[in-house]
Amino acid sequence: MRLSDFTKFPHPVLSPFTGDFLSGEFSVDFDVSENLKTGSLFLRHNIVLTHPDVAYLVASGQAVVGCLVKCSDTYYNELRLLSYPDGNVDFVPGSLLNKVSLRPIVWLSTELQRWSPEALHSEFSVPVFMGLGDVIAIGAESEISVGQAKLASIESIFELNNSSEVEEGEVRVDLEGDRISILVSPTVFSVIELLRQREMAVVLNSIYLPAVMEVLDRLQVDHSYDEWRWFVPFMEKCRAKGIAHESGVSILEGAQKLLELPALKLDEVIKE
Amino acid sequence: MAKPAFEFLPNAGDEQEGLGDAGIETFRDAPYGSCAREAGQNSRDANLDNDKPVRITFDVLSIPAKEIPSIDTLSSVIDSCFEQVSSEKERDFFDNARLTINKPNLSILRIADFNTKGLLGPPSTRHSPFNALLKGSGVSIKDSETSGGSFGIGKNASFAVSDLQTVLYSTIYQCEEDESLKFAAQGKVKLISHSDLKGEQYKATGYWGGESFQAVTEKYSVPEWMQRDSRGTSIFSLGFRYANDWAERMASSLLTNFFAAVHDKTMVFEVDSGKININSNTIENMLSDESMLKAAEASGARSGLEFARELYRCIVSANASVTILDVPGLGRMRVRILVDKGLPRRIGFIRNGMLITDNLRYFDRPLARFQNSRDFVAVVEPIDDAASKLLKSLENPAHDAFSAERINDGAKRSVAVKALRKLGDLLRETIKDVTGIQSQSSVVLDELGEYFTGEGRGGESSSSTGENDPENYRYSARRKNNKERAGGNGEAGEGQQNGGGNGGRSRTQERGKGKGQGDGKKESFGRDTLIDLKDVRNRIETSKSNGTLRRVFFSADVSGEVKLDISAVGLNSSVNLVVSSVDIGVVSGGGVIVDVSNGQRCSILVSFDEPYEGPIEVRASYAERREVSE
Repeated sequence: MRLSDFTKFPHPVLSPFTGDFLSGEFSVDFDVSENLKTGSLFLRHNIVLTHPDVAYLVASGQAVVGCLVKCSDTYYNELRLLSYPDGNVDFVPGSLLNKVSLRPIVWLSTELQRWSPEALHSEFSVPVFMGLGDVIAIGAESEISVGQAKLASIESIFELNNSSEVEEGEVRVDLEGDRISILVSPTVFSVIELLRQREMAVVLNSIYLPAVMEVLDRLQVDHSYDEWRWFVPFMEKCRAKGIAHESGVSILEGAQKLLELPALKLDEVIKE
Repeated sequence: MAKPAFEFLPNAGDEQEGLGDAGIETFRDAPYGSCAREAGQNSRDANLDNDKPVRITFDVLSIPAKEIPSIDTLSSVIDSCFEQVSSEKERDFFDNARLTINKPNLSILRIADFNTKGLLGPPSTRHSPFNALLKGSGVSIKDSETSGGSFGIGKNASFAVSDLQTVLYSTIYQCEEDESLKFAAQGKVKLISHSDLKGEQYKATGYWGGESFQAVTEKYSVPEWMQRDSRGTSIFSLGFRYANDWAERMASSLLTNFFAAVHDKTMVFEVDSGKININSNTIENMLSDESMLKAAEASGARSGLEFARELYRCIVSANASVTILDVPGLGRMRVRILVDKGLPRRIGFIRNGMLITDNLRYFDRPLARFQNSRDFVAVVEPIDDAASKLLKSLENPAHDAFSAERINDGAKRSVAVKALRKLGDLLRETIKDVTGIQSQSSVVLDELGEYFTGEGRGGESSSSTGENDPENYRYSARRKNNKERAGGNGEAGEGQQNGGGNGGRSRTQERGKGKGQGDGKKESFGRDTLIDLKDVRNRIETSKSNGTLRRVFFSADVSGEVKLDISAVGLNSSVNLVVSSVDIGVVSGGGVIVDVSNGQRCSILVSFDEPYEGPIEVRASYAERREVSE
């Protein structure tokens, strides 16, 4: 069944479009979180339901809050249940893209033989019979634009490479490419990959910090990397942080400035 | 019939019985949580109609002591016990019991379940559930081999919250012989062995009820607060050990243990006169509720509640992977795994809607460390009766671990050990497949992006804690402007309603969406000019002679004859309803022509040529424009 702002049900519906109740509000605020890595999407919602009788039906489980999620680009068209009064809903990566409409509704999960809600418009005579599945509240439609994460993402100038030419346990840095490449053996590569998921602070201090020191060290003697894409953003950041590329300047100090004192993050490792 | 009374068993053998009842002591560490959990499990087993949830309420009553039949007898026994204590612990208990019972009002915890079969009787028949609850010891009565509790040791949890160690029960159940509904009530007291003023020796156990330790079977023989109107069981813990956060402690235990049953709508809970509602609507919020977490912490169970919250997330997440394992000797098990940063890398085993454990340590499969996995949480549960039955046979009385040592038959025990070890191995493999790092030769280090870019990205990517979170991009949804005032015509909406709505369909002509309807302006719709109707409302009115009628209310900001067209809200587009009669105006071309006055409320009773009781859309146009040729 289509549902619009202009659909008129033969029973009272709490909505900004009906005027069936003289007081009370139903609306849902949505906050979106898009994961840059996985593309998964979370909707955090907060339900405002101020009509006491409708709110009671939801709180007691006699009515259910849901949201019609519709995306014309992916043909996603589903009713998702919303936890009351707030909660999260997640979506599989790729299921939503670009314009997505969110229409909150409340419907009955039980029959109400003689419902006498307060502040009911006089053109409905109480008590009213409400059937199982009857829509009792419709909120204003909200809209989100999915895919903003990609637009907001700034490409990193670093990459980690698995190289069989690197000896076990050794870490090398290659500046001859569009990204600064950290080269490690296959075994170390796997370990770093795992640590990136679980203990980023360890990787930051044990791998990235020395790698950045290595870059600063090389830049003190050689500025011939300006043809590579990583060069300009790296140098700009050094300038912003007041890091000079001259002999005698501490590369440890410079690397710590660039990585914003990574040792401070180590306490995350020992926290429960 | 004589009034129900307290009566203690004679102690002909002069046995010495102290307060250290093993059953009650089991639940002393977390009395509120244990009491809620055990009650929940027993009620779940007695489910009457599988299509409806079992509802359990937890309330504290304040009952005048004089309304408790034979309370003086119990008071006198407690006095006798106080005089005969053999330890400081017993002295403290009876000192407190005397204070409790001498108050004018007694606090009573009432746990009542609904949509359950009640405690099946007859009460005097051995091995009936009623009899097992009141008089069984080491007896397990169950309705199904796959069910949860069975009035074993768990029934003692209600005593652990009673400062009088006194619990009363009332039930309405269906008699198997004539299918009539029967009432039964009885109580039980567990104190210490004692002698009365006459020197008669009594055991620690006493009963409240009819003569010769029998149950009361007349509803009106028990006080009103013990009576029931529907099938189910009520449990009353007399002298409830009141704590300010008793409700939160019980609720947090219910959340921790039964989140799966609540999610699948087989259980709902109401605690403290409905102040706390736990159902499928509220559970997600409740699992994160600060008062619940605080209460769980006070009971030493915060980590359990937090684990339950992650398991719940795994159950509802669209991103969780699902694997079905066919385990030889066990049966089919469903494994849901959610991978996300910060998850505890633990497995929750759920059986019959209840969280049991996070390991198989008694099978040498602790499942405690997952070195090469990304962060995850997994939910494992049986999906056939064979698996559920075997797991139940391995469950300990506290329902928090599996162990094969509970099986007496050596051959069966061996099969169970093999099956559970195999389950542990398959789980490890499955988790490794789902959560292991995928092999790549090169990865872009996104996490370093934040250190080497400009300032443009800051502020939009942040975690829920407000800290910089480069992995997630956050923004708020934009609420669409409401172009329409309440009740008017306007732009047709786009939503679809799956939640409900009445059925019914009338004879129809499909009508496409009109171009340019809306905004409260008079615009072209086909060859008609639409009129903005205000505050449109309708209701069903049933007439014996005319069947289903519909009264339509509206206001217009014009005067003169207007044509109303009413359409049903179809699956993809509006569908015209053919009006067959009206009480005002005339029927014309399937619609209604009616005279309206600017600003005046109109009310028209219409009937359609075919029954239709669903939602409608009403459009109005100038009636005279109908005569304009194309």
